Amino acid sequence: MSVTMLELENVEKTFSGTPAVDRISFSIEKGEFIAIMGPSGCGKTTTLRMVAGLDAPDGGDIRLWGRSLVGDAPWERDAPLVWQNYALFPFMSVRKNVEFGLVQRKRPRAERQKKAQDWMDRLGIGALADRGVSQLSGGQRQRVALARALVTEPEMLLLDEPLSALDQHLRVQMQGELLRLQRELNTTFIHVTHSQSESFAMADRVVVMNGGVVQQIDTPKAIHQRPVNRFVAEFIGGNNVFTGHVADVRADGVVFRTGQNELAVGEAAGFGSGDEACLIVSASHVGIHASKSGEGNELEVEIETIETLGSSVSVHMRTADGTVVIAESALSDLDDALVHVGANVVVRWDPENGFLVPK
Amino acid sequence: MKTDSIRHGFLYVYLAALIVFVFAPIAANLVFSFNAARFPTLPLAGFTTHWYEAIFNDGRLVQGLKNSLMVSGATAFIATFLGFSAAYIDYRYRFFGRTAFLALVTLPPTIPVVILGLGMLSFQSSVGLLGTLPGIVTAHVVYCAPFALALTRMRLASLDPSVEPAAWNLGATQGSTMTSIIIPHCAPAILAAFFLTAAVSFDEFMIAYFISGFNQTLPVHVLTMLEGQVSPRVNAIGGVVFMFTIGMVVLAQVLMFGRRST
Repeated sequence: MSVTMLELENVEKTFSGTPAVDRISFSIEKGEFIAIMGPSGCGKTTTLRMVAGLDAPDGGDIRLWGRSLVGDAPWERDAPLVWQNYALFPFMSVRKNVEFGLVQRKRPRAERQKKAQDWMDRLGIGALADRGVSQLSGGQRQRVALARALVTEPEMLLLDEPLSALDQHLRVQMQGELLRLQRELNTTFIHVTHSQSESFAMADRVVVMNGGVVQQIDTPKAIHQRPVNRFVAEFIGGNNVFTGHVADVRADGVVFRTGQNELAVGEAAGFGSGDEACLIVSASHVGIHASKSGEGNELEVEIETIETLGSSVSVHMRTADGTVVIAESALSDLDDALVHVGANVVVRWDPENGFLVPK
Repeated sequence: MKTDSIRHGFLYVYLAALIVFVFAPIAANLVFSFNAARFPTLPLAGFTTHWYEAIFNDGRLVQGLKNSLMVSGATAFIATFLGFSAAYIDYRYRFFGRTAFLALVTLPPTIPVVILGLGMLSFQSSVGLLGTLPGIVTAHVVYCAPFALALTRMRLASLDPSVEPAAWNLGATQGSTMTSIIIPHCAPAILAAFFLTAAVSFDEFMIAYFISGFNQTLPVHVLTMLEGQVSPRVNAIGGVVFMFTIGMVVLAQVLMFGRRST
């Protein structure tokens, strides 16, 4: 069923001595929606530009259907890019912008006009066809950029943070449209973004990058449930990350020591006594209670801040030895009598809900 | 309020005086070129187009005008091409010595024309270009290309640097990107540069004076004429030159700023 379409193998790129992309490898299947996510400077845009042919890799290979792309000029590739700032041709009408790719491929005039009109209609900009691009709003420009890239019906589409310039409402709307388009066309989408919500909302698989290195490649759900290292856990947010070491290994898990506290961890395969590690516990698994019950992992904490994030609440707390603990719960589940700033409470989670990653 | 209107009034008077100061000699020149009297004195003697007829019947003057037109046309063409090329290099590439490159190509107009003329004289005499029209064109190109560079560079600066890679990405080769994106975008500035450099070359006296020899351009010929006599024909020549030059400059201005909305 799944067919490997694009492969990156040990791809490297250095800018004036600093590695921007450091020997990354991953493959993408036909019709997949891939998000490459990471903080700015992590090499995600450089990776995308190398696929488009706008930067040449210093080492490694990029193969499309098994054939190396590395020697091909950008205009010989079929990988249109939707730019962060749209990069529309400023002196042309919307129609001319959309037709551009077809003109370059020397398609007959009748076909050009029909396809351009079809795509403009499909993206809801048919009425703007004869406007100059300087007269358009951000959302309209976004649609022109998409129509311009899709008009040649490419087998993959590259998106470089295309939603970052839109306001929140429009962004969510465009996310839905992008996803729908991708499903309808079965085109491979490679979407570069720094936004966790964007990539998790749309992608089949997410490539998390940092410092030019791939940290984790998996489905959004798997990354959310099992981040492989401290960076990923912190980048996607909503996690407690405790630093410490394995104090004891038992039949039903390990004992993890952080600061003054010993915590039970259900699953810690591959870790031995004395290993340095990070304990990851999702903030949604941490419950807030009035007193100790003697079960699970319990810490006495003081509530420092309470952030309301729409329908959920994030509570930041600190133990006597300075360890920060975060708990998240639905707004409606919160007991106001118990949870208020300055209150001394007990947090509790089951040992199965924590896991260790290398430090 | 009152002091404000006084200040405004003063500024208007000042501006009017300035404009009169700048344009009075040109206006006088135009008026006396249609004056029937031999000497430029008031009161005016009566209307005539005699001086214009005279200059167009003077073979050497017409030859000078032809020389000037040919030189300015060729200069405008070559200088605009070179200026645009340099502007594009500056837009497209980041390389070691880029600032030095830019400084070097914009240098000629800052050199006193006497020095430039002298340099051209000694250089062109050693390569056998001295006194020929191609020689004058070469010298004028050196002097004019920086103006073309400045105009086209300004226009290129308004083009998002990712537009060109976006065109490649959509299947346009470098050549096709140049003809379908870069040149159409810069067209107003390229035409403006053409007319401006044509005007500069048409007017230029000092360099041409040094190197033109027997192939005199119009301004050089006018000087040799004035050395012999003061004729009202000079006023008529002034009229022709003024109209040509101002026409070119106005065209350049209209092209550069009139279509800014697009």
